[in-house]
Amino acid sequence: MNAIYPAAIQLLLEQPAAAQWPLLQRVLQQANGKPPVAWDFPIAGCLAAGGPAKAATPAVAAITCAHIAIILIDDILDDDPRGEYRTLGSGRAANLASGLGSLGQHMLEAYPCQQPSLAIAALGQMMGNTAYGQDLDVQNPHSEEGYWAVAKAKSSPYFATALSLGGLYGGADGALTEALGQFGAVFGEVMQIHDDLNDCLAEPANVDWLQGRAPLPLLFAELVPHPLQQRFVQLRSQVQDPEALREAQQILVSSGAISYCVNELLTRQRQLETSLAAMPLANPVPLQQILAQAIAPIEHLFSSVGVVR
Amino acid sequence: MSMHEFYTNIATQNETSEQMQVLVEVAKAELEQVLAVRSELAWDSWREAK
Repeated sequence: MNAIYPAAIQLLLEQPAAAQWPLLQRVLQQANGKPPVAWDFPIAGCLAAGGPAKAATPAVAAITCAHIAIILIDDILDDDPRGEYRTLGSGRAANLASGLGSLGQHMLEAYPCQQPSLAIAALGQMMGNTAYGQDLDVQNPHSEEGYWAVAKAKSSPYFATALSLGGLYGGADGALTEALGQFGAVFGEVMQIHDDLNDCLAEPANVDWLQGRAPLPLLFAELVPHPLQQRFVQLRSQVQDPEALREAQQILVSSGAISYCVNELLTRQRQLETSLAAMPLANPVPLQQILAQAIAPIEHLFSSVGVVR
Repeated sequence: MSMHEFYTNIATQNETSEQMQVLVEVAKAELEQVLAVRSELAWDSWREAK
């Protein structure tokens, strides 16, 4: 973490909304030691567009507010035992999320880029799209189409907006801002697939197994007519037993569920490479680094399995 | 590619692209080889990043 993140938090704490609201102050102070995922995407977008990293500070602040707000709501929807709502109550947690959404927008108005209306619209659209995605997710769709609809609506907007806001603060024009957003959106899908793989392979069984949810590998093993499909469905209700979990996870490998997820990751890797090559960037290195992050787990898997691409 | 199309390709190995051959090999892996990646390398680091 460089100096920009603490500076963004400090800037947030100096705003009137934070000064008058002790709970908001406390949450921001807690965030100071725990930056959200992709907190530095606005810096990457800003540098890629040719701006100095420091110029992205208001965008980092806005994205941080958005992330805290999204997690506050997500924890309520998922009944997550780590959620703030457990101590605050759902009402206050939801209200805090609303306040953070407003504070994020305020940062873009108070510390504007060259095209402030685009930045404010992007943040608002992101919050709306994510809320839509969370609502789809809470309905727990068990279809391939449903999965991708949730992934695109819930996971992509945050990463897309983090990059495109950074681009705007780095001086990007409308076309480059949109291209940065598309790059971030695909990266968001990559993150969702990685997250699903990680959860499905966890020991003991992750809540995704226990709550009947449908992350991508489990969805594949349930829907595709492989020889062990029925056995997998049986095992799914028994995964609190470590032996049953291991058998079910081995079926994820042998049925092709893991391979399918890797194929989807490779497809997105190519999309990211094509997108990166087409963008007129002042500095491509930050996006190249994001791409390398996205690819690394696949390369490690191939190495572990002993295959060479 | 849909899940069913992918499964058909991987089960019949009709698709002869290099990428599909690699993915067939992944499907033949032992669970431990896949878990090794999760426990040692990247997938956990993604988790920490969240």
